[in-house]
Amino acid sequence: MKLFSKKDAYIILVLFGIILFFLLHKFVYESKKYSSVLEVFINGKLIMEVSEPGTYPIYKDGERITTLIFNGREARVVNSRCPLKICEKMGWIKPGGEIICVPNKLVIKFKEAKIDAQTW
Amino acid sequence: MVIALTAVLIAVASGIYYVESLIPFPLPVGRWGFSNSVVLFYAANFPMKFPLIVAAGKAIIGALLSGRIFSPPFFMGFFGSIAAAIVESALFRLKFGYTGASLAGSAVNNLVQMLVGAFLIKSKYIFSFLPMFLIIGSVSALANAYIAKTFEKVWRELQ
Repeated sequence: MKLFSKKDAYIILVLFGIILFFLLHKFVYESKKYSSVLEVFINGKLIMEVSEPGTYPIYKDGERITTLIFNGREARVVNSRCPLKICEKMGWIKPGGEIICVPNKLVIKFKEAKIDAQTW
Repeated sequence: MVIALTAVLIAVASGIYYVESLIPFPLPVGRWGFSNSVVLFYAANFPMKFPLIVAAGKAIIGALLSGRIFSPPFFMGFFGSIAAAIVESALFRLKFGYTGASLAGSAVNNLVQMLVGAFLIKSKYIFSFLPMFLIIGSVSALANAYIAKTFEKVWRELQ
């Protein structure tokens, strides 16, 4: 089998298109307006909204799974009980970013701002 | 002969799978995926069932070694590897080269991992990782294509 066949160029082109599409989608998504309210979801269900700066333990089935720190503009989690602590390594998130913890089925994100009026 | 080689390759892939978790990765989540080079080599040179066995075997043994068996990341990696093995085998039958099959396998692996992750956490937001995964995955896919081609050369010489 060849290292590179002429047909491989089609795959490179398609892959380039897919990457471009998802980058564009991410750019459009991140350029939306966000409120300074955090939403915390577990297993797809909204369990908490946080609007004031502070430290908030997050519980699942009565057990603390992590602690959310919100400074009013950015958020992060600490002291997570998941094995790899990937959610902690994500560090501070700004509006448009998310903290995701797959083992705990946890998603933390900023709430999208409601647009009350448009000028056109 | 093929069964013995499959067993050896599962062991090699599982070893790479475990060791590569020690190599720094530019994102807080994910791994380089160099163990897929073994599956890629097998997909190019043997019927589809054999790369599928290696893909499943390395995901299970690698997860056992790292203590992640039956955790959500295990299921993401398991189904991603299986999907990549199927796509790579199919592309080799269609006369694509190592580079194309590896790039497509890597993209499908990442896409399936995100789909399984989104299903498990019941949220679409996990897809925000996808663009970076596709870009970094493409880099390791190119390396995997070269490694798998080298495996093939060695295999031919041994024959």
